[in-house]
Amino acid sequence: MFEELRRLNKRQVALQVLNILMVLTSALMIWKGLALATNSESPIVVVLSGSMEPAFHRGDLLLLANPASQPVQVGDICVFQIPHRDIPIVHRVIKLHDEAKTGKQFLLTKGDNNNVDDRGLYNARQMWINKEHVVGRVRGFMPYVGMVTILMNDYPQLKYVMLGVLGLFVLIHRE
Amino acid sequence: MHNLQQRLSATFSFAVSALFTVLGVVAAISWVTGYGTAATKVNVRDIRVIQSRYGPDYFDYGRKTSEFGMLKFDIDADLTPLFNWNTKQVFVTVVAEYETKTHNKNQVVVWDKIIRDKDSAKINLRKVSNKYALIDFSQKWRNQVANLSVHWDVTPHVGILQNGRGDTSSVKFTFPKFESSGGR
Repeated sequence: MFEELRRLNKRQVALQVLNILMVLTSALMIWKGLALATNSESPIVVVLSGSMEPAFHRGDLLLLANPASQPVQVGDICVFQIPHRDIPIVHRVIKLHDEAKTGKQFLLTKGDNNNVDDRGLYNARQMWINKEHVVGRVRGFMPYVGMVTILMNDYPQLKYVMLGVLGLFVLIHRE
Repeated sequence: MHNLQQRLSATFSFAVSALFTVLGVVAAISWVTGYGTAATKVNVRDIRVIQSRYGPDYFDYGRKTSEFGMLKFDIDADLTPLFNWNTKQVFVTVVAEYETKTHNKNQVVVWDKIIRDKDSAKINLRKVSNKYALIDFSQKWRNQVANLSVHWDVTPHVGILQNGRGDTSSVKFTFPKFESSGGR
């Protein structure tokens, strides 16, 4: 393997580096393109908790969309982010009040597997979340696929090992 | 020419693309064929209004005069048509909908249930009480007219989530004005 690496001349190394950059930029383009198409800053999320079991388990992959023209409906499963909190939450809307004058939506959410609604998760004395807190509504579901990212988050070394191996492969792989 | 590493990598990438193609086809089929509709019916037995500071969820609504609807209703639903080879679960809710002057659309879930198989998809319940607090944004009920209906949300094993509602099932009812029982 390393012999092969040594045999590469400067032009070939430059070409391989460009190839890696190509792969990275296309991945970024696809991600940002999806974000534009779905109007959601994070169109694909991985379920981290069991609060929506048995519908969604830890490690399942969710596809989101957040069309601006469509208001949130009761029963929609929303991914929302409380201000100044790191981790977004995936829960179902159980109450909804649309203000007539401003069109502002007041939402209350609850996890299917939780006994109580989410007022305990919101900020103190916060009774509702609004549409600007909603990152997206769940449209598509794929089981297990997100387990890879959960493993990489739980064991960060795995991430570097995988990145290293992948990088080495791309570098020495020749058509 | 072809070493083990190249063979492994080719096999792996082909397996992954084959798997995702199959998943895509499954999702597409279920999206096109849909899940049909369920036969649902609700019937309102009784509606009362009480005043309390705490709701059935023990949440502190801040004032002793917050008004809660106490609803009793019957549900008859046959959700078996929603179950096919790509149905993981059906989430059924009974929703109260109404309009007020300040809020043109209000939807409050009063009851819900997770159904995971065809055998438990027939629901016949009598005199069910509302599971969640039936309280307006203003925390007052002033002879409010509302609609009760059954909604469902199908989660597939893989693919697009689809929802629906029983249009024929909706039934009108009116929240009475609160009248304190202690006559002065």
